[in-house]
Amino acid sequence: MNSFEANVSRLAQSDAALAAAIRQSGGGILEIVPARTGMPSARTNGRWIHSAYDPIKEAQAWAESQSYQEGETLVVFGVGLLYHVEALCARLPRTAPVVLVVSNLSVLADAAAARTWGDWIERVSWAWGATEGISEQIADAGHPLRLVTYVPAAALHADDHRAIETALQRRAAAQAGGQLRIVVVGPIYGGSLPITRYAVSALESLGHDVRWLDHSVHATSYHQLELLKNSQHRLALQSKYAEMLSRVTMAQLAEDPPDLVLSLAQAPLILPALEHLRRKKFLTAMWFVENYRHLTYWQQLAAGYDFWFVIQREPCIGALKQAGAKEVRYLPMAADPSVHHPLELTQAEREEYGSDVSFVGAGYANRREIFPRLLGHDWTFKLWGNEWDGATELTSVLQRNGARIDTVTCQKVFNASTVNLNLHSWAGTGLDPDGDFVNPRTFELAACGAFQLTDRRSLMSGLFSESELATVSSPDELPGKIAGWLREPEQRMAMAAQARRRVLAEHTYAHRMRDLLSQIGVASPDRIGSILRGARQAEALAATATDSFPSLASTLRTFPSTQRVELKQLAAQIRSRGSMGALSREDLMVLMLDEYRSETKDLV
Amino acid sequence: VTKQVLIINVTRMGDLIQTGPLLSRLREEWPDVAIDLVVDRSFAPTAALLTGLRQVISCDFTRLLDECRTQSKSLVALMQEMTAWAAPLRETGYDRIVNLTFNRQTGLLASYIGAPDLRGITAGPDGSPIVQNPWLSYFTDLHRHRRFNRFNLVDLYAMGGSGPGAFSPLSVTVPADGRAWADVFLRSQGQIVRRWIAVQAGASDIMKAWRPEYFGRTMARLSLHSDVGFVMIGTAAEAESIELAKSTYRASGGVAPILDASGQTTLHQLVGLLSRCQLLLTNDTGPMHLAVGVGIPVIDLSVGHVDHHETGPYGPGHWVIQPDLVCSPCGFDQICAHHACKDRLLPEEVASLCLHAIGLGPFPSWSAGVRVYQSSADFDGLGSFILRAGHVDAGVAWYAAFWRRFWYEDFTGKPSQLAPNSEPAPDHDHALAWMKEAVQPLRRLEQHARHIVALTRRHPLPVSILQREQALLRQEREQLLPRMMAHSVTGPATVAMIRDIHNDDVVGLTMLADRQVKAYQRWQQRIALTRKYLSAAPVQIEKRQRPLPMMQSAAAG
Repeated sequence: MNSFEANVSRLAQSDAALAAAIRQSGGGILEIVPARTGMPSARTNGRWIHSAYDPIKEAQAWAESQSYQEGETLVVFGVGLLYHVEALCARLPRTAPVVLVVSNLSVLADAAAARTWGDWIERVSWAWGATEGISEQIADAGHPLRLVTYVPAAALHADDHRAIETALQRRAAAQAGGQLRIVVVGPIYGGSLPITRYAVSALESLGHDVRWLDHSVHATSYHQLELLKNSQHRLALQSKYAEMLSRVTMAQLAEDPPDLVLSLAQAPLILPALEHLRRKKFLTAMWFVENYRHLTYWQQLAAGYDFWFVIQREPCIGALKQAGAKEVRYLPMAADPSVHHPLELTQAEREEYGSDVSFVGAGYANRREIFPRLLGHDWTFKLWGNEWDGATELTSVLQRNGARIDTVTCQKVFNASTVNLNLHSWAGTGLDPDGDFVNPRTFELAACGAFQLTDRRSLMSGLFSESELATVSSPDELPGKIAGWLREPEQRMAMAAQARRRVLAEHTYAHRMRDLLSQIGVASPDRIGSILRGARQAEALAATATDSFPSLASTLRTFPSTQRVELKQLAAQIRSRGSMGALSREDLMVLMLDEYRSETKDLV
Repeated sequence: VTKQVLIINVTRMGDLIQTGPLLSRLREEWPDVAIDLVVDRSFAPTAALLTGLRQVISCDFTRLLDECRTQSKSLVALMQEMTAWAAPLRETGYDRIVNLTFNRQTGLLASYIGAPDLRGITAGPDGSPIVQNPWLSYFTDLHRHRRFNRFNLVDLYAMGGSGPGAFSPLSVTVPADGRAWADVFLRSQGQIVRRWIAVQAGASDIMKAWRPEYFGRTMARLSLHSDVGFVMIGTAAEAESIELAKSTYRASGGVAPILDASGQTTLHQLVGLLSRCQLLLTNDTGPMHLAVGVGIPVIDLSVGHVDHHETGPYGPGHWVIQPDLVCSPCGFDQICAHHACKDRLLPEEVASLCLHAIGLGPFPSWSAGVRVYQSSADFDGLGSFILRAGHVDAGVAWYAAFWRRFWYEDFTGKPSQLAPNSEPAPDHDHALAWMKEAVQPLRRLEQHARHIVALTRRHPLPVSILQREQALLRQEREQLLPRMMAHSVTGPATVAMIRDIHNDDVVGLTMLADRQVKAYQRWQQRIALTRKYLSAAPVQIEKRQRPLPMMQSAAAG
């Protein structure tokens, strides 16, 4: 019997349907090539899936580098010739469940034909079929899940794997019940400051315990430095100032260490501070709500954060990984419906804030070049916002003499305008040729139930449909489109209403924060994942402690069953018994661990 | 039956080396004793240099701290890990545990492991820290009367962990591989150097580091002697200081060979290197104790918050230079803006002392801003320092000598071999008057405490009366304390009393109240004894010379 027959027959004993499907699939995806050691290796499209020299040794090294905590189910992405799965099985305890994701049966057929599998194959469960089916099979395999990827093989089906991972994250998010303690580090000033506020509010709305380290209180001092004429002095002192605020952040974190430190773009945490936090086992994430092409300080920080969330896909994600970031995920902007929502305006307000056409934003080069084309038509046009100095052609439409527009005013303009222009910023002329991410204004206008005409972005289709947003693909289209939409009040209203529904259903900051946490949770199943699953709640902890620590279990049962209990709460409970209560040895150990918990000296 | 002792000493390299004499003392106490040592994983190599241990048990306490603090593991997982680690310790059944790490964490660990004889910080009945053993209590509160302290940490460890005994020097094994590496390293510069001087210009805490530029200038001065060479030692984190010392050395005309071993030696190599040097010029650091352990003389620059009386080089053969400044040494948690004490030590004078220490020059003359001490061992077998230059306030000198003798006799129950002060206290009349005045308030405190004991025995318990009386007693005590603390003649005994009344090692109201009575009694007894000593006519003591134990030079051996 050849290896294919032997392997498939063996597989049929545990999963007859899979064995039959493999026979049907035919194979032919992988090119089997002998490695230097004589063992079969594989290539596809000229790229090696396993080592050309020693695939077994390579797989062992890969398996050694994977983390595993007792009780977890390991989900493996990437099939190849299964050397890595074999090595993983050899390394893990025999009781550790291993689920292999099979996105393409032909690859598995090639693997079956290439070499004969050993007994280890009986330890493997197979998740195969359609994407949703695969994620269900994985979810049914048990929790907590730890996802591991053998990249050379997994790269063949990266899109499928991303979809499966997303489905798993959605499941994790839906099941999340545990309360995290999160510190959000905000910027000193700038566009990410309001986003920080929205993120904090969203995390709180999800039931987490959130502390915002608000560095905007230092903005006045920081801006004073901007007045220095000598650029060397200015840059040196601003750098020192950021370093000092970084230390302040560390001291604040030391006061009450959280489960997660979430920074928003421009947060004053420098690389040495982030490296120190990692050494001290803090978990850090950055939501980089910036255009990575314009603001490039991510290059210096890439390796510092455990998780990066960005508003652009490739090549942004690849660039960050190239710069040293380990985990980079796409997380688009959103809106906060408690801030941006439809408003009932008075007649006076309609007169003040309303117009046929409006734009709210700063005077970037492309806007300065495009907006003059909108003058002299039979519509009224109002331009709101700052940094329009020198745009003399637009003086007649510029409101409030180019003053900065606050959120409340902005919302009134959105609600009062017939057509809200949403032209993404760019330093060149026309529309940004690399325009990919969708700006916050898109979501905010939609959340207001306001009609918007926006420039088309490559990532827009994944967020809104054509029936939800009106778009232009070139500046030349703009006057005609405006005129056309001004003539279609019913269509405008219908479109705006649909866009608002979409935002409420999918694009609020609460959605984003839930996604962010579930992605971190899936990536750290023994930490954030376990807290989100409720494994740190009193009842769950008591169940795990019953056999080994009975007195601890009974103390845990004195807490409300769903209350999260950590050393701090448990130690306080033990201490509250006072000097008359005899301490058990378990109590002494808890108190000792709690003393370590409260140590802060080494952090700052 | 073989006695088993567990020593817990987890925090610093220097502290571990300073534990050596305790090991000797324990073997003196129980010749067949089996001694185990708990250390942080990072210090396990250091512990391996000590002789006389059955086993070194290490734990990654840093990781434990990080995991507890960030809650990266569930409390049950942490419990499982730590109880599994501690299980063999519990099962050993130690006769004595000596906790030399003065923090709450290890106190709870000591109590968790358990032994009939627990010493150092342990957990009281409610988990709060208490200190067992008078020597280790003294050490815990040393910062409150440190100007009068004349006990080296080494002796406090040895006396607290065991008891009085013969002087035993610090000693570390010089590993053969380290020595061989050092020989190759020292030959690498290609010139013939007869006297290598090791220089430790950095320190873990900037507060206790002399200025690196001064190290450079001192070396430049020393380099005028043709047969010396320098070996810079230190960690990679101290690179900036070391570079500054080296650049100053060159800028100041330093001509002798200089080798930089900082950041590139293993512990074995560092020990080997020190053993091949003739002198170490250093801040008060872990390597200083290693140098003492391998038997080379040390010049200790005792600046910032360090006090050589506590942590200076132990035993004969070393020198200490201390700034003479009102604020020196400063408090442990002091953040100093000026570091002016460091400018009191002049590089030229430090260089002259280095030459004297290696036999190339006479004992130098000194400017007014410093005190120079020569290390020694005294008649009680304890480490000591003899003032060779500079001035110590007469009151501080008198009371330091007084309390040194007093505590030794109080804690050991044995007469000290040191001569009592031959002159009356500088504040003799004022001190006696104050102690006379203090008699009545002290007696009232004890009577009040006794009354509270009686109240605790009543049935039913008169709760409100008891609370009121306790509050009154506390108030009386708090009124008296500042005055008692303010006098050199009563301050140190008062510090001991405060420790006594807060050391709640018993359970139950009556027991606790009774414990307070005993604390007040002890306080009175100590004050009465002090008064007796001060009242007695000063005796003219014939000053004796005692041969110091010879120091074995590892470099020569």
